[in-house]
Amino acid sequence: MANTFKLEIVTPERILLSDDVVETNAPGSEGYVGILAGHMSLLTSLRPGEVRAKFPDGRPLGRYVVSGGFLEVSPVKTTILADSAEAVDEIDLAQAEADLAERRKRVTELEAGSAEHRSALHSVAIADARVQSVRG
Amino acid sequence: MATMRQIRSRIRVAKNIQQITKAMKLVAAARLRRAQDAVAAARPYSSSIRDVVKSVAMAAGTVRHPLLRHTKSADGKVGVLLVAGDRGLCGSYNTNATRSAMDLVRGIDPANVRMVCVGARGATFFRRRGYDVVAEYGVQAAGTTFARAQEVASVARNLFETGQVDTLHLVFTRFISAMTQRSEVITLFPLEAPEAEDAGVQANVEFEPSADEILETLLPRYVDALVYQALVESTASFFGAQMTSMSSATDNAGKMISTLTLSLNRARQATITKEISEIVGGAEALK
Repeated sequence: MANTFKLEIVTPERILLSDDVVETNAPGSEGYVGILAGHMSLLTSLRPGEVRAKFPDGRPLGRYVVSGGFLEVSPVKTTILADSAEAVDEIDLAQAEADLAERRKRVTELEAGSAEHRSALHSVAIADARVQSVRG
Repeated sequence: MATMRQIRSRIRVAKNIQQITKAMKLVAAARLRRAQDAVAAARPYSSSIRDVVKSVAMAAGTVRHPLLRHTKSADGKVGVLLVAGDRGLCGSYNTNATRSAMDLVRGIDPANVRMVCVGARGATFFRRRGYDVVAEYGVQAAGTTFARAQEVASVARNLFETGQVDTLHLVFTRFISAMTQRSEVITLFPLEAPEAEDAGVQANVEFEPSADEILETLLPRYVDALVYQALVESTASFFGAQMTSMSSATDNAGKMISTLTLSLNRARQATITKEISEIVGGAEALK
């Protein structure tokens, strides 16, 4: 298959995926980016959201949630450096929803504009991305 | 000469100790394996993020970022982020790490030093000597999480950004093998961006958003990765050191047991010989 490229999803704790893919979509900070083989070199930051990977051999779509990080496209391979990442199938929806509700509650308790408030907002975005991706 | 009873009790003590050190060795070996896996798993991320920092630094030309700024205040305030262990019984692991940290701050007024410690041993050492331990964290023996590394890194970053320290060093123990660990010092702040090499230059890289903005989030993450690497390697080193030292403690206890058993046998033989000669002597006297 000529039209594939190597995609790696790396977190500090493990390599989640390292495989040849046909296409990948990632939540860039300026909007979703789609990468096909032969894409020009690109470096972008990611926001929390879902990464999709299409495999060449008819396997189901690979779906992963990342909590932000970076996407680097080089001629050799495409690397997603995620702060944390997990496969969508691994997420427990009830748990994720409870998590989201709790984090939303915490945001309202914090003073707007403070550093804690910003990081709480970020964690809401992560929890939200997980819930959204499971619901599809 | 010790009586047989004394020797027996010493053998019993040595055996008990041997049992404990042997158990600790096995536990350390099991934990070491896991910690080694974590070291291996952390490598791809660190090397990738290093490459990314390189290519951004190259594209942005002169990199300006608060974390790279060299500052100099009159009294030269120094910060040290020391990664040591929570427990002892691990050979010279803690000693070496604290000594490396001590070498950095020797000759500096403790009032101008800020310590951030991971591991109770290092924290106790410096607190007792009158240094200001700003924050102390425990070691996550079951496996360091990246979230913890980020927490530690943000405390250190805060010290630098608020001007409480001019430089901040990271002291940790590099894991080389189960037998060999080496304590190392790297300067965390001001951060030195990895040198861009000429080989493998990626000329046209598109940045989204701009290179400067990416750097804004990338550099703190790079620091987090450095700290995470340090924590993971130190944990592996700790278990390596513990396994080695507990293994030699077990061997030593074994040697002690065999020496003591020998002298126990000698003592028993001596009593028997004495009794025989007494009986023989007594029988002679009756003739």
